[in-house]
Amino acid sequence: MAETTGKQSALSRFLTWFWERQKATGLSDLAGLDIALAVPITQPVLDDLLRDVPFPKVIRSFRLRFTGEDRIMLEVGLNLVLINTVIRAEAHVERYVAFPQEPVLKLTVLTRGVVEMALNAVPLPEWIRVDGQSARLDLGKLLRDGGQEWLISVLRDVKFNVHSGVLYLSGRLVGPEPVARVSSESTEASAVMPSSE
Amino acid sequence: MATNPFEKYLRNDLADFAGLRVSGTLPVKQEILNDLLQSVLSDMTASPATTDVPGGGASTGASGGDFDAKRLLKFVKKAEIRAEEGRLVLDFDVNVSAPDV
Repeated sequence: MAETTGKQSALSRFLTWFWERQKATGLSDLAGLDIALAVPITQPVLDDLLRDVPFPKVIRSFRLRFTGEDRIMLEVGLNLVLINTVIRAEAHVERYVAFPQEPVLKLTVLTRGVVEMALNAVPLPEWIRVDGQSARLDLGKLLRDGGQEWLISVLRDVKFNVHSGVLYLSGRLVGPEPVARVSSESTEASAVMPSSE
Repeated sequence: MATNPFEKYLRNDLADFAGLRVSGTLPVKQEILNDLLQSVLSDMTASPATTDVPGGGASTGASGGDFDAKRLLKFVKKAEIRAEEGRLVLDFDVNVSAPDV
């Protein structure tokens, strides 16, 4: 048992080292990487993801709930001097996010009236922009602020499908193009630079 | 700081990720593979807690001592390795099916 534990410990440390190396070197070891992802994000997982995201002091709580087909509910708890309330606004989610050019999740706020006005007035964090009924969640800024900027350049074909209680994220992770070798080692046809003609 | 939530998900056999599917092609350079082998072999002959990490960096603890790679193996539906010049290429398919009820 002790030996088994030792092997796992080594693997764990190797993966940590490898991960940090890839982030630092722009995924230089992963040329040719091509991975298809289909990731269900349940409410507990999303809550975990949002737990460490910084918010302005005026926001006591922030929650996204998956309410139905391409619908989410934004719940913003406010901590104002005289107002201690929660704004709830339902929004329609556009499925496609244009990584890496425009890593922004676009929403249309469906809840109208006072709630819509309040959302436009509340000092939300910089990665959330609300302009009338249009809202934008800047996933690129969120990733950069969280030290995961490297993901922006490798994510492709990102698509969100929201169902009741779960969000499905699909897409591809694509490594950098193989670079032609300059060492004395011979090269293979598969490792040539992409054609620009 | 909060503990790595990935450990929590692993202990729960990825139940929060039922339906997860990851498949594709992962190239592995020979020097990376050699570093991995060196790390594992060193660990087998030394105290588990004192093995150096390749690259000289200390373990950040982000993965934690509770990380158990074997727990992930049951989700691997396909893993094929082929050799190309200077690297191995791993073709894989990982699928976390919904838990049996």
